[in-house]
Amino acid sequence: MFDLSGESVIVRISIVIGLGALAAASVFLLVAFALRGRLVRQTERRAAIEAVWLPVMLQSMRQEFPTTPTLRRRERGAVLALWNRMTAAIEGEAVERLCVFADRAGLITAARALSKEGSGEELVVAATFLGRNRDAAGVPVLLDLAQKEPIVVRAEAARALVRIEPEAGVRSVVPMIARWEDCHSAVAVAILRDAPSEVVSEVVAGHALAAQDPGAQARLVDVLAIIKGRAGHAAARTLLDRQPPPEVASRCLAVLREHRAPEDAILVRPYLKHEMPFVRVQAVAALARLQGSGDVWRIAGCLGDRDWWVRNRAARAVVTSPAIARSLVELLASVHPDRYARGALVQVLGEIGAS
Amino acid sequence: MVGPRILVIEDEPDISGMLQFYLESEGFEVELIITGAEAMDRLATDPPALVILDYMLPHHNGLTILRQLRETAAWVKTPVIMLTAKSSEHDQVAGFDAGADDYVVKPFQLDSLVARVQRLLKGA
Repeated sequence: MFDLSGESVIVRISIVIGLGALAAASVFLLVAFALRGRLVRQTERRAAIEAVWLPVMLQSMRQEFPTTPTLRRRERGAVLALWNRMTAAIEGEAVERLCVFADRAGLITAARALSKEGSGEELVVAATFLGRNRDAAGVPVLLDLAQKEPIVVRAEAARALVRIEPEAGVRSVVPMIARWEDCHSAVAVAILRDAPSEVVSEVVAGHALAAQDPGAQARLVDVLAIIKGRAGHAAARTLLDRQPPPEVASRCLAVLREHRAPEDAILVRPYLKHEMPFVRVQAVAALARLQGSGDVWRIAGCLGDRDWWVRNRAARAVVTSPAIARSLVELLASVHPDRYARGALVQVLGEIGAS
Repeated sequence: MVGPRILVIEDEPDISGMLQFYLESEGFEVELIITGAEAMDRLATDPPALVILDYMLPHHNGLTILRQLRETAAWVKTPVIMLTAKSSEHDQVAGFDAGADDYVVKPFQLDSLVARVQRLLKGA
């Protein structure tokens, strides 16, 4: 009797679990079908819009000004995205004609409206359009977009500002980049790409030197390491002389490494003794690149560093240095008094030998 | 009267659409191919007057297609313009080494591309 009752409970629980799983699977399938249907409808609607607008834009590129279709509210995003894609692929007079077309067809008004009320994707489309159209009247709209979330909207708006007025754009955008903790240096460089590199280097260097927040300072120096301008190099030297916070120092060393000026070695050498391993790693890397007289032996002195990363980086620098013969490195690998140094050299020699 | 036939091998519909419109406006007949596999199959048939070839294509890249094209007897003398976003000197040299007659980097000027097509066809 007791057993039968237990079996009955198990059967009931199994049925409930089975029905629950069936219900969950049904809901999942319904949602999946609904999303798929929505995607198909969106794709079809976009294709229908492009079928109308693409031929008209193509004709306008050949200096034929066709009658423009009425731009409906729900079509704005798709039409602006089509215009953006076309202007991304080409340059020259055809782009100028597409800009004239954009004005005649009301696309500029549409982009401004979309920038106020669009979805995240539409905000990006509007920012891209205003930047490619290079209409100075779009600057206030873009300054507003550059305050919005997420970063992709801010970054596209900032890039558009630089496109419209390269020098003024850089001056207004660099302080924003300094504040944006979520802006990777590669994104920052992409934002600034359309401005003259020396202007970018000068403005970024100025803000890096003046920054009070180490995070902002580090982000700006990261940008200087990529763009490699003269002002950026000078700023990195000045900052290193001030003994900045570790995250800034390591990035300044990266800037010096990129510039390969032998006279920078004197600034780099003290950082081989820095308390933070990531700074010492950057100092070894920079000194290895600068190849100053006798520096290979200073780097060899880091083979016995207390941190594995520093030892490994030093071993790589010593093994690949043209200033020291392979036979001497092999001797060092067998007689160095520090077993970790010997281990690092043997490891790197093995890797290099195998490659 | 239909002009010389241009084969456009390009997987981006916006760009191939623009090229088709522009070239047809100039009186050329345009044939579009999207993938590298289709391009390889196309080598078995009659060559066009000129080929505009994208570098980055599905299945086979533009360089592979170009090398195969230059090894196909009927296509050996067909002028080829490489049209690509790859702008480095290394990529351009690779394109010319593989047998390209001209190399155009995206974003490109449509009028300039059409002029290059006409120049190559005059020389062919």
